Amino acid sequence: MSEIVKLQNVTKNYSLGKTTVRALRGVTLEITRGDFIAIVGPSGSGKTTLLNLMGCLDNPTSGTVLFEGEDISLLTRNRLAEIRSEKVGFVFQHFNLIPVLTAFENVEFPLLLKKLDKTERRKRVISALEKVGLKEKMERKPFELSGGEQQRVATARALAGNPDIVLADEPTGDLDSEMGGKVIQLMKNLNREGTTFVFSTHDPAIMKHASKVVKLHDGKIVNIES
Amino acid sequence: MAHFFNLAWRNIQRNKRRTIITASAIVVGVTMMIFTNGLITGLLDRTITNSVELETGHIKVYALGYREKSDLIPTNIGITNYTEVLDLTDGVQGVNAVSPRIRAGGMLHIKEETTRVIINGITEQDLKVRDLKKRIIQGEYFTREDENVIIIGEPLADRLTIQLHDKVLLSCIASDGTPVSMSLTVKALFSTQFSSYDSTMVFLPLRKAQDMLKMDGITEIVVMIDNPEKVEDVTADIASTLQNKGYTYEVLHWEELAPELAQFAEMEKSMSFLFMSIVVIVAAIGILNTMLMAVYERIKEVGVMAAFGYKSQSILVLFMLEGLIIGVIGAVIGCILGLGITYYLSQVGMTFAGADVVEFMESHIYPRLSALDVVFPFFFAVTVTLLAALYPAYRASQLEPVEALRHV
Repeated sequence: MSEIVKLQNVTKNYSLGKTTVRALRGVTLEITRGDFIAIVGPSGSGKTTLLNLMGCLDNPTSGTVLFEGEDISLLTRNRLAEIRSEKVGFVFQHFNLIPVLTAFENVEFPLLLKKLDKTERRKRVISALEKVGLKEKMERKPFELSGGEQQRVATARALAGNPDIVLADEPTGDLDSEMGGKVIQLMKNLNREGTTFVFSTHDPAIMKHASKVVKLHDGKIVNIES
Repeated sequence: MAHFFNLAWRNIQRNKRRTIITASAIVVGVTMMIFTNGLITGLLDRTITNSVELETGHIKVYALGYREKSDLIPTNIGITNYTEVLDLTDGVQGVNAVSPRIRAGGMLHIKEETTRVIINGITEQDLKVRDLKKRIIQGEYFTREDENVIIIGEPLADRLTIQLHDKVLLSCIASDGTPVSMSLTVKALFSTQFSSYDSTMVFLPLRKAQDMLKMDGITEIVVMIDNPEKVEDVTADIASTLQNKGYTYEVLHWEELAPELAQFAEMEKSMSFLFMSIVVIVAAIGILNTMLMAVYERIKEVGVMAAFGYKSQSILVLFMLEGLIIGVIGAVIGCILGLGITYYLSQVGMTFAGADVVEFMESHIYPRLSALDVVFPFFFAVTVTLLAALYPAYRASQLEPVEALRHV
């Protein structure tokens, strides 16, 4: 299977006032199509930074991030936006739903950039919401949904565009075990159809289904379990 | 784009109070701009119309050299063969009416009272230019048979305690330099409501004025035209028509005859534009502030948009649309209010203090609007709003996605 994202000796530093935070220190990792990878590690170990780099949201301080063979450091802002629109789906830790839009419109939002007619778009949105069990609440706005429901809308939003890779930051963190299990099962089904998943998680249920578990500590990969 | 509009429309409703306050500033700006435009247009229109009707006409024809000495109201620089000049002028395309006039300085005496006046010798043709008949408040206008009669203004009559049919003595220097005087009967009193005009102007039949001043000709021809917009063209046409017949007369239009009025009109328009620009720009600063707040509050959302592939241009357009919607709503309401207020005042009028600043300015003004008086403030406000939204929108579009997502 071909690789979709490849990180070679990647470092990422942030400036926090006068302090430099070394979020990643020489990470080398390959994500192959069809992977179902869990990235685990304590808070501040660099999990979110790693996901951001894989999703072309950020550039490395040094090293190379190749997305389908393209060095993301060399791409324009617009090209990176195109890659994210066409190939990447994000599930954020804090959902990040747009408060003025309904659940339906939030899921539809990334699809507006794709060349889909209205009927096809609607079909995809409803199908994604159905899969996360929220079709009945699709006209509700985020503040009318529970935390778990919002997380499921965020998941549906990431999946509706049929991305090549889904990057999910703690996707089951706010879900009860039953709903968490359903979401994992949904993702596993999509994974079987070819979608690649990378999670940052503390959830043992995800780790159990993962094809690889990458352990991070202080910005370094300390272990990869297959 | 429809989706963007939908999103922008909902975004501006997030903080309704802030949106209403911001749009209100635009409403006030546009309303004031339209109302002031209406006021100035109404004021200038009436002032110019009055000046044209009572004093300058649209165009005047003088003998060469008269204008230079016009302050002295000379009677020895006149148009001698005026019948032909009148016919030639009347024949020019666009000319609606012509009136031969004599103007001279004089003194009016009654009993022991004396005052300076300006003598106006007119024919019945003058009614097509300056309808003195409709301004008569006592007595009657001249008839063809009238000879030793005079029409004077009501304030002048009051000041000198002159009654209708009283005999007055009019004296002046004739065109040959000799002093002359004549006893005349007051046939009518007029009022134009402009007190300085009514206190100085006296009217007598042209033939009588010619006799008294020992003149064969006249001092000026006043011309009214069909379309005042074409005054410069018609002025040039009259000048060339006369020149082709060998007459070298001075032909001047009202802006040249009353330059202070034209300057006043320009100044009023500039001042109002400056003042209103300040009002709209203050409103625009409100938009700028609102949009900066909106960007700051929604940094994380901008990050989400970027994460899902929205390009910088799209984010810029979204925030610009929000500013545009606030601007258009404010401008539309401002137009409706401005039109409403101006329409009401155009019916009832409004009293304007300090109307004596410029001659022929009326104290009761009826605002009037042209299409441009409404269209310009609308587009001005919308454009300024868009410019004000540009900087916050640009800032939003340039946010780094990952930084925006990390924003708390």
